[in-house]
Amino acid sequence: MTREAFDQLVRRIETRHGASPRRLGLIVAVWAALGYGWFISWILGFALLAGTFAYINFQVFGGTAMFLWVICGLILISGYRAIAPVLRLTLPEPTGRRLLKADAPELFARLATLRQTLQANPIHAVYLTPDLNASISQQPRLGILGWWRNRLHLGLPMLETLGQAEFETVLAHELAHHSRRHGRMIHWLYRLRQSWEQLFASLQQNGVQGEVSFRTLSAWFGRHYWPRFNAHAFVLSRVYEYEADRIAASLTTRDAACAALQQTAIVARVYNQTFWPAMEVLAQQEEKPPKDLVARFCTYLEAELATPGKAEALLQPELQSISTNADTHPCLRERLAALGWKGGSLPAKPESRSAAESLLGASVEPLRKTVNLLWQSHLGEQWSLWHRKAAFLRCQLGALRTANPEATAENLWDEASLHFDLGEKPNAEALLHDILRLQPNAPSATYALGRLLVEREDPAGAALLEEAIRLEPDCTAPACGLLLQHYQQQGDAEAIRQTAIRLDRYEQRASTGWSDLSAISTKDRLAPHGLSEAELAPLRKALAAHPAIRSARLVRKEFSYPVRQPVFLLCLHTRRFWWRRMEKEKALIDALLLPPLLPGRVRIFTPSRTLRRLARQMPREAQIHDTRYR
Amino acid sequence: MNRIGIGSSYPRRHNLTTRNAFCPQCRRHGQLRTFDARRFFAILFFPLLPREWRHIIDYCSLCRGHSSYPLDAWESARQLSLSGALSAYRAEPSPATGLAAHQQLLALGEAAAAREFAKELEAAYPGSAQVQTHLGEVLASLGQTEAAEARFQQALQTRPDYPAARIGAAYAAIERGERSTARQLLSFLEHPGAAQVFSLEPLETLAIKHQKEGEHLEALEIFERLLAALPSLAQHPGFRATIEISQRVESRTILPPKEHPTGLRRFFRFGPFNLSLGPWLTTRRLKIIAPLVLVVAAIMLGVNFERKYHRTLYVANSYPTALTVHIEGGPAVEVGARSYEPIDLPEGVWRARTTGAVEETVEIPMQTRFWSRWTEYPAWVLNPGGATLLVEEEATLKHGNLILHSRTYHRGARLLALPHVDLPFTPFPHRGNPPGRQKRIGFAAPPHEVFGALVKEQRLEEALDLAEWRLTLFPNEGPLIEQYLRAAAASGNRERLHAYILQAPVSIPLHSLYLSLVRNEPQALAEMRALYETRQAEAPSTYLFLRAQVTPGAAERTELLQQALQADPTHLPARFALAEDAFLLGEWSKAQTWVDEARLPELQATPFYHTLLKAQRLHSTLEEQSFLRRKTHPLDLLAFESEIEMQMIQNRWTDAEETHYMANRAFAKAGKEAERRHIQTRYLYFTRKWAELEALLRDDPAARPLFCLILLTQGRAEEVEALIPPGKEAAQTLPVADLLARSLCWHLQGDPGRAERWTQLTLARLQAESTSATWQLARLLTDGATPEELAAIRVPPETKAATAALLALKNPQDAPAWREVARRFTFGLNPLQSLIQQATTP
Repeated sequence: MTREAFDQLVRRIETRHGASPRRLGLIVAVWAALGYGWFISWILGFALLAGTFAYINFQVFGGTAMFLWVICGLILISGYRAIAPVLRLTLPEPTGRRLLKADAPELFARLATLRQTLQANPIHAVYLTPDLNASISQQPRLGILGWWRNRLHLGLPMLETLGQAEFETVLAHELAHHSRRHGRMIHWLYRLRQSWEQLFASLQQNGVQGEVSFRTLSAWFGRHYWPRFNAHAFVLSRVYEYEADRIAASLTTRDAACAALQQTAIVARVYNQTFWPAMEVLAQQEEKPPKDLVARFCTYLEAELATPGKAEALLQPELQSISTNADTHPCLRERLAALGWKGGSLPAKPESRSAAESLLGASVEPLRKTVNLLWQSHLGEQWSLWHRKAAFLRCQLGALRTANPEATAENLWDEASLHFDLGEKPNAEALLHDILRLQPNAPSATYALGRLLVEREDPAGAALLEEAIRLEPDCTAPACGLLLQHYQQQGDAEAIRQTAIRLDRYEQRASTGWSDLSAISTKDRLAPHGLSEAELAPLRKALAAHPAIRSARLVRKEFSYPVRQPVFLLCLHTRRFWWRRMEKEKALIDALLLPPLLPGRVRIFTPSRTLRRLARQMPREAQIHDTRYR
Repeated sequence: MNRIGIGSSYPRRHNLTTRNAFCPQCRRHGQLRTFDARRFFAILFFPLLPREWRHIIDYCSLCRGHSSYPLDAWESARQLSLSGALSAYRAEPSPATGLAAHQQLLALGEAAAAREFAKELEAAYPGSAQVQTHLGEVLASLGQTEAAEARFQQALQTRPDYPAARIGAAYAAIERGERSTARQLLSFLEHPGAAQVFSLEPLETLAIKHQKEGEHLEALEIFERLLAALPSLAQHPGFRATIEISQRVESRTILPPKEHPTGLRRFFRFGPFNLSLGPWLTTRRLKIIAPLVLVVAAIMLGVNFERKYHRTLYVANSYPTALTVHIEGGPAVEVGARSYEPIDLPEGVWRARTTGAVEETVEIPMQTRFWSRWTEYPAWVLNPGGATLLVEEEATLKHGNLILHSRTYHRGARLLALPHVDLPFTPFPHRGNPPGRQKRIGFAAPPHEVFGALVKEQRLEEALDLAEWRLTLFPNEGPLIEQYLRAAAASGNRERLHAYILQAPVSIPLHSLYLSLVRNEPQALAEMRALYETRQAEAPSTYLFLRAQVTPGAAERTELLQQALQADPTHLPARFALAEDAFLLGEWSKAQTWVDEARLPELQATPFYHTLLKAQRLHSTLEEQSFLRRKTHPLDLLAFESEIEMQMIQNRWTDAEETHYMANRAFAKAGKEAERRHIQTRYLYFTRKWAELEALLRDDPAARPLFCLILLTQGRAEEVEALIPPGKEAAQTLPVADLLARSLCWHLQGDPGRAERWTQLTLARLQAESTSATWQLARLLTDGATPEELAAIRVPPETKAATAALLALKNPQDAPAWREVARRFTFGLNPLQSLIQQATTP
């Protein structure tokens, strides 16, 4: 299903059932039952097939037919292979440090209180992770059949950057999704969607070439079932994000909930947009990651927010962004509005004691060390790769500078690429501008500059990306991805819709292998060539130079999407060649083909074989050359 | 099919271009043709059916391999790609668009146009490292190394750092053998982090080149760099193998230990499910597995048919003569007496006709199910006349011990079809550890042993059934008859036994034993007598003989025996009965005449005949006959014994010693310990070596009666009584002659009281036997009689001799006459003879 179709479906569901979450829940339950039915019928189908062979074996051969036993065995093995991903769905092991009650009694006490209040499902394990996040993951012990094992992941950076009240709001939001108090089935469906997401992602993987399996059937089901279930569950999930926010606010305070949302958005923005690029720069200088990453982040954040107006500047784009169907979480603005936030001042600076200090108590220091070590070991390999790659690129850059080549577009592009890879964006940007001055239609430079500007949230970047798509349609997918991100931040819903449609169409065409661009058939729509006399002159001259050509008709093939080069069809009517006809025709065609005489792609043919009918479809008005009545 | 001219054919070829290159299909160097043609369906190379137009690429003249596309579609793709690339270059002339157009020209086989375009590009961008490098790469791919290197060098002049040019130049240097130059050019790839930006393949090529040239140190150095940059390479089997060559030469290890297992486990990947590992079953794997499966299936099918067409029919013959089995439409097989023969036959319904020992026709359905042929090993046993006793056993051999699980006897059925037999007519192995239970079929043990085993297992009914079945077929099996009668009588099955005797085929041993069993039952005897008289017409000699057995009067008995012999002069039992009667009466020559008239040389080897000769004092004749017998039968115990005895009687001590030595050696060599011991005992007795003899016999319970007799000859009656005290048990177990010997000994010792006690025991014994002869002997011992009366009683000669010797001692007045009788019935060298000799010596 395309993005456009999915968006339309989501909109339709929102229109019909958005106001009635209970009814929507029932519909999603029916869809879930269909999914379970599919999996169970899958298991039963294999069992039944194997059982049929076993029955025949017993009835006809008295159980002695080894061949039928082998078939039974093969069916069961195939069934196991087909069902295994469903029954043995495994999530990656958490990378954090498991917290015990003795480590953080205060945290566990608060957790117990919240759980009791919300009547939430039990939490089987709590992990302290190095991520800027707080979440509950569910590992099904029996695949799709459930029997969940709930794990609470608490990111130390989040604990360090939020106050206790704000963090408890976050915690309450997560636990609300697992609450039995507010619509047990609907919360179950919410979690089901999360866990099935990974399952269907694996089921929808197309089979490898040459693979013999039931994957095609699974993929077919995944392709048709998942978007529909997901669309319904998506709407439901979004509704229950608001519900979770409301529950969290009711357990703490509305201000704390709003503050938590805003604070989280600011911290995440700093973390992703400035802290990590800074770390990447650091990786170029230091071979190993620092031992105090959490502390560095806190210091960095403090320094960032110390500048007056910086926090507002960071929050503004977040408030501008709009909700999309890529994420069940609504945008910040809508979440705050749902909580009754009317705008105004930013949340107060977190209390002197962070949530980490309050909730982890005396263990905070050793836990910080442990998480830092975890982070260090987790990052170690990637950091080392960054470091080595940067060293190599720097070396290459040095060699390039030593060579001091002529400032041609290709040499400048090489240098710009090195700067880009090294994260030296200002240098890269300057060089890209130089390239575009030398070669204004260079698609790679246009795209790269557009990307730089869009990442910097410069509106000029979008125009450059559009230009890059025009120059090189192959960059449509990454350019559209950047544009979607840009328009979301700008809050431009219509632009997002248009870009998604364009991306869908591009992907559809890519999936068919661009066959209509490289093929000609009688089904093609033909249009007048649309060339000026000046553009036609070289062709006419060339046609006149070949006396064997009696007449020629020229048309243009029409496409439903923009193409970089037009496609022309030139039909030649020649005198009859009685000897070596095909050779002479090919020589004639090659003479007109090389060098190119038309501004675009051209297919030159004589009315023979499969193209005879196409030649008849070309109108008399398309005739550009005729020697018969001269 | 194409090789025999059936399939696609391209008779007329247009726009033909040729080039010499390696064929992608057969990998041979040859002429590859590219052309447009109409495809025809051809039979025997003759194009018959025109089909579509195709563009053929690289048609190999050697293997006819090629790739083809629909002509119009190909032409559309070619023209659109070419014109698109060229017009893009014309619209936006730049190295990038130029290179794209050039690549299109090359890819579509427009070599001439590509050459022209390359010149144009070179002229347009002389200072472009990118263009020069690209052209160099194109030339290198065409094998024009020198021209390519020139382009690379030109590119390096413009951009000495340009990686692609450095790599191209390095390849050229490697080709020239300038490895150090190549290393220098590729030095940037040895920098840490290069692997994340460039492929390190040039470095690997250089390392392999170093290795091939024997520069293993340099090779290892580069390999080490490669491993440092890409540690996962260390687990690649091919790469490991390459490095190991240099490692071995330089005795230096740079490879880390191998991590992942290889082999079938990895191939089938039956580990925990992991999507990232990719598909489990692919067409590639199917291509590997399918032939294996097909081969296995073909082998299994072959085995199935081989078994179907080569089944074995076992013919078991337990008759004493051979028989022949004629299979209709199959072979005729002769089966020897008491043996079996396997016959190889395909499955089907066969008809077997048996001739020889038994005449009959049996239908043999030899059929099995298709699926069972792989798992089961059936056996068909043809049992002509149903006469063979077969045993089916199931056992497990574990650590050399045979654990028997079941044993079933099969008898009577003409055909036995067993669904699964592992060891047909083969004993269980004694060694090894065959898996699971093993099943065998074969001849059972001799029937009397099987009978004994069944009785022991408390399966009396089954045992009796078996014996009756067997005796119906083979009525003269002595050991079985004896066991059957004893078991039937002891278990209270007298009525069943009687009924069987009445309806069973007549058998002299069976009836003789039965008669001895019922000798004290007048009614049974009368019934048998009536039966014999009734059936006399069926087999006169046999029934006359049997009538003689139940006739009390001696004269009448002799008359009946003579009638039997007249009816059938070859009737041995009657002849022997007459000879025995004469022998018991002391008419030695008459007895011998009865035997000799049978004209059976083998009779001369019987103990009875030897005794006859001894009784007639024909010592040298017996010695000679024994000697001759010994020559033909080197292990004949009786012949050895008689020869030594006769030599001793004739006082030829040396000859006796020599014969004894020969006997000893012969039996020792043949491993016949019991026979050797017997000869040794006899020889020691003959030579009066009492001490050695006693040492030999003292601990042998079986030889106790003989040991006692030897002690008695030495006058050691006290010791004998200590061994076997006088009493009821002694009277019941000891022979009459032995009892009389004890009495004689006490008389000789001068203790008439004890002698009388043994005499009374003898009388009790004689009365217990309750035959007319024993009664007569008992009466004679108590009431007294004449020596002639004693001679006329039909008892064994040694009993007569002992009785006569005793009466000689008890009646001194008639002693000479009694002594004469005693001497007449005493012959040979034995302890009893010695004792009687002592008693009869005045």
